[in-house]
Amino acid sequence: MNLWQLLASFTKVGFFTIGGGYAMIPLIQRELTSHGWLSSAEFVDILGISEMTPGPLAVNAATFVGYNVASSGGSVWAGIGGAALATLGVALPSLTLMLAVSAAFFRYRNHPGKIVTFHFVRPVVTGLLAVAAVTVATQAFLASGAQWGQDGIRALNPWAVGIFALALLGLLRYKLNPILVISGCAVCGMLALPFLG
Amino acid sequence: MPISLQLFLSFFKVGWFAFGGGYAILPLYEAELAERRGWIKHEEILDVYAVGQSVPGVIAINTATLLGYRVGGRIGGIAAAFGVMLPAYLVILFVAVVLPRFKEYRLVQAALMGIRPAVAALILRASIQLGKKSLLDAITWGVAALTVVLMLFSPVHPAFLIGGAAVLGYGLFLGSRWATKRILRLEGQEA
Repeated sequence: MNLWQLLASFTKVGFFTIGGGYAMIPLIQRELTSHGWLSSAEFVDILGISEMTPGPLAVNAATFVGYNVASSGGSVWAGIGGAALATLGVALPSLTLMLAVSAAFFRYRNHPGKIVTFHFVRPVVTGLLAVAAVTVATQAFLASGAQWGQDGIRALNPWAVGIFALALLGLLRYKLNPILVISGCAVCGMLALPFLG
Repeated sequence: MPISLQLFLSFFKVGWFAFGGGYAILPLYEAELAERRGWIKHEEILDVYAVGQSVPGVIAINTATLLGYRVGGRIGGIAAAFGVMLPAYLVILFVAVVLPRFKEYRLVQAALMGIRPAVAALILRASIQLGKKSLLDAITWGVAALTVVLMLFSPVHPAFLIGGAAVLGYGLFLGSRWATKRILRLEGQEA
């Protein structure tokens, strides 16, 4: 097993991840399965774990695959090193590219051209965020095992809707810190466990 | 404490709560960097965010690097990027080494059932906050509405919309003194 291959491969994954998130899943998957590092079923497992753990999908996948590939000889320490190498690989394109443009970006931050440009970019980001909120809510409100349009009102998870309302109230009305809100909602979810059947 | 270490710790803290992909981390950056630390203004974080998600690379790392650079230069950028990644690395290692069946624990699934709606609420709040500052007239409202319609009903990529808006804005700046003056006045920046 060539560890540099691990680094190079995940550098490629990091570079592919334009726009981020789920749009890039097929590219990541192709890169990983083509080396025989991961089966399709394992890849689905990684998606699931990635959703349940903090951090970007690409970083989660890199750490997981790096560990599994490098520890295949049985050594946990080799696995930890492999995970570090793969994770570094996934971050390299971001780091180099961003450090290259950052000086110019901030030097011109009060330039009229920048202000007029972002006068139009900001409404786009506002719209993108609104759509992202709807997309995430659609997933969050779906009862486990159900499907929208097929299970009618039973597809709606009332716990999730209630927690959403509480979170929004806490954020907008009481200006609670987001980290507090996420932690609190995780606890609410766990408290609901006995009632979930 | 040196600024790069402060940056590392701030981003490390945020990294533990970065559930749910690219957009979800934005409100966390705002709370930590703008509200708690006062290092950088809300609007600037959002501009950085627009850039960070339009170029190649992992969005959370792109934005962390830019924000870290803004506060603490090159070393700050690197410190921020590694800070925000480290929790993901540690958690996945923990899962891989200690809890290979992590995904199947019902308590974990229940916690996630609570986290997902919270993330939706956080992103919605970010949209409302940015909307208050960016939707200044009928045209900017129209741009936002068009974005929503295109995102919901066409397969267009977000980076393309951001790039398109940037080209439109810079084109107006180069081509029309009148429009530039009007926009600068709307933005509260008298030319």
